[in-house]
Amino acid sequence: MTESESAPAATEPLTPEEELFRALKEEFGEAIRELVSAASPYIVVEPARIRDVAFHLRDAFGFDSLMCLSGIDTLGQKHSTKPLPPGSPRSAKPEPIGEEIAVVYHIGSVTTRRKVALRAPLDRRTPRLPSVSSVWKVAAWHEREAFDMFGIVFEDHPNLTRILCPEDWVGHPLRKDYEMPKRYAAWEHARRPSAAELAEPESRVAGEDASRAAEKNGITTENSR
Amino acid sequence: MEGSIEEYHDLVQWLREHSSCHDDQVVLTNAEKMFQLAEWAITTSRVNSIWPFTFGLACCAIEMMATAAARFDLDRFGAGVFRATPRQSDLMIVSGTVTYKMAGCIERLWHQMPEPKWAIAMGACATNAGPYNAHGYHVVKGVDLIIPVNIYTPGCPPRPESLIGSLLELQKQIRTGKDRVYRAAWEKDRTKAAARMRAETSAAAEGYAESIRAAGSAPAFTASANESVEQSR
Amino acid sequence: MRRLNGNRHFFEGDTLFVNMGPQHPSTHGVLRLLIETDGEVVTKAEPKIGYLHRCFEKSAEGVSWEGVIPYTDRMDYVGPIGNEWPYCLAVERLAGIEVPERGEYCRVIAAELQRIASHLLAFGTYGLDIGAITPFLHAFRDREKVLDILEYVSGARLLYNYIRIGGVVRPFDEKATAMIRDFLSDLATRLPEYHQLLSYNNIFIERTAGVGVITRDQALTYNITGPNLRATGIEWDLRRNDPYGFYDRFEFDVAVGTGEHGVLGDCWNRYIVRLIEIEESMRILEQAITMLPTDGPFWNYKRNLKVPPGETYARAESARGEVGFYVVANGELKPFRVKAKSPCFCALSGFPEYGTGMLLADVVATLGSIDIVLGEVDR
Repeated sequence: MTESESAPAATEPLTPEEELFRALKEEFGEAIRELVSAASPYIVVEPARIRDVAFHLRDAFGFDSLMCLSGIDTLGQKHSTKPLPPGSPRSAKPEPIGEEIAVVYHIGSVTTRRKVALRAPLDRRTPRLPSVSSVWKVAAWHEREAFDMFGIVFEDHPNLTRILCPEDWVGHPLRKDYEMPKRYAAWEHARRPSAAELAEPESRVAGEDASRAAEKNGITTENSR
Repeated sequence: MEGSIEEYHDLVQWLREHSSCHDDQVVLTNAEKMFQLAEWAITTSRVNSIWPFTFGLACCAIEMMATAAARFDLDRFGAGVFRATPRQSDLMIVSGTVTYKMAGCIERLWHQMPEPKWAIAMGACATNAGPYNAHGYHVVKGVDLIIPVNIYTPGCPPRPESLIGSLLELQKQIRTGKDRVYRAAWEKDRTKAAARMRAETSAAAEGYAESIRAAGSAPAFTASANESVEQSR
Repeated sequence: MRRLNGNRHFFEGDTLFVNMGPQHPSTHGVLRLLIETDGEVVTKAEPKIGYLHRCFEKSAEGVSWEGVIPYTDRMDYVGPIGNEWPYCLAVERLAGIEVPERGEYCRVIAAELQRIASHLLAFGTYGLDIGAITPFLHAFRDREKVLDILEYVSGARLLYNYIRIGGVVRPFDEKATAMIRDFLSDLATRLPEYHQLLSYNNIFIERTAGVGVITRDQALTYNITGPNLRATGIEWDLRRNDPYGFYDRFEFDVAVGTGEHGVLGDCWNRYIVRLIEIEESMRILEQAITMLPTDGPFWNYKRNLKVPPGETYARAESARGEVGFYVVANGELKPFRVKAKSPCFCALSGFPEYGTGMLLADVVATLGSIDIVLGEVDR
């Protein structure tokens, strides 16, 4: 920790984000693209290197907890969230934003009390990047949620299945081009359980369900890739 | 229960006169009256010992708990025995949002409850998905698409007084046999029956809550609440 | 058919699946736990969530900036004010709205009252989980008094919609502060009763001390926050460590696990942290009602709020831990994206790790002690 923090011998006072950005830039070079100073500044990272950056942040800088992992679909976002450069004329418009799906990581540290945000922009048609669940375990569920809501595929995830929606759900609801379903197929064919089914012991149902779910999980993950 | 005993006054009178009589003849000729009396007794018992199902879905469940707890004390109306299994309960209070993932469980639990059984749709979500109606892709638009509902309680969440009002209204339904009419209508055409029942019953519960509000907010706090806490010791 | 005789390995690896929930009295809502047991010992516990997925984030993209606040209420319906605050913080930061001094004090008072109400409910229902019915009645009696105060200022009993963008909807007036004073003096006499009833009850200690231990490392890697983190001995409270609102103006201690019974990070310590926090909240409330200005603006209201493009992440300490909102604005009348980070979601994600290797009955004790609200887990 001490080595990287003391490395940039700054002549002018740097914000903690700038300091961190320089340190990461030295370590990872081109993979660290830019530092955007929004209301909460964030660092844009090459998606393929995200896990390496995450490991480095945890081990070298003491960022011990992943506060939040969010997916975001920028389809229809008119303006970039980047602020205009200082001194630009009033008529200047913020630069338009490309259509992308991005993953935003908000990382914090209980020991050093610092915060940092990373953003990994992805291709909208085939969004995939390495999972960080081996860095912070909480990411496993956050990533399942991002997969469920946006269809982002996280490589090397221990169990990448839908978490909030039912497993036979069609589509990824938080994508901006998602259409509200008129009906849900599973309930179209819903029928009353027969007397025999009702008499079944609960435990057996659970066991069956588990194996069936496991089967389904495999299929779901395959299809979505 | 108040008033209904009067209707059966002559029956009770008759029972008193014949209770010591062991003559089969009398029982046979008066079999019809006997059945009436039995039906009255059963209905009265049912009305006054509705056992709800411990079934909390969302925010409304907290208000349902508050209704059962010290201040509002649902036990005053014979409905305080919350059972943790569907097999021992008569009343399902659907207290919260029904999602597609949960819908199957609710239907199954409903079928596990023994007849006769009733359901209260507590709150806007159970009635028609409430605030989640417009954008809730995963929310069932009203629990009456899945199970027949006797009473709809408006509110988000309904106050405990509203839930008590719904319970009193349900007791009225059971006493008059209207619950069976609703049930039959729902089995025939669920959407049509649901629309009619919504209009009729939600007005009644709302009226009760209104009258409480007009009378000066919630029931007096100190006396009843402390009493039931003392009793529980 | 395998024969039982002479085969001593017959029972090895012969596990039973127990399906707990989604309808179960002690899952605190519609949580489903898929438990694999070997005899009485739980070898695997897998939470299945989503049974109350009410599409909060989709709904938030479809309503106005102000309109999101009632939806945040319905996430954590046991402590809604803890959710309104971070959302409003985020929007205020993006739109550059200042909150008047009186509004800030009202926020602190409302949030601390809410924390007390939420912890009282946690106390009562935890008693129910363990098998004690009386604490539930006691807790609800006192909780009703908090609800009365909050109803007086906001008009609602459970979901308040009280903290608004730029302030609060109605200030605490003299009658409200008098109610709070009454309540505080009343609760001070009740707390020893609670300790007598549950905290230092031998049966309760036997059921909870040393059960369901969450270690420091687990708490950090699963980002478990709030009382569950503090029970492990880590002094981390956003009110102190990343102050928002006026929390830096108050004197209070951060409650941490005492380790008086059991070990740090177990059920008993998680429970006692909540009760200590009630006392600390009472301390803050006493200071806040004396510092509260009696007049002046309390709500910097903006009609048809249009938030300039930008994004931010704001967090606050609710009764359950760190609630965060990642808000992206697109210069429109409604949010472009709102992502809610819920402390219960994170705490529950670690359950397969700290919820195994214990007896089946202890699963209930552990689940109750992390005090989850499924509305917030599933959103």
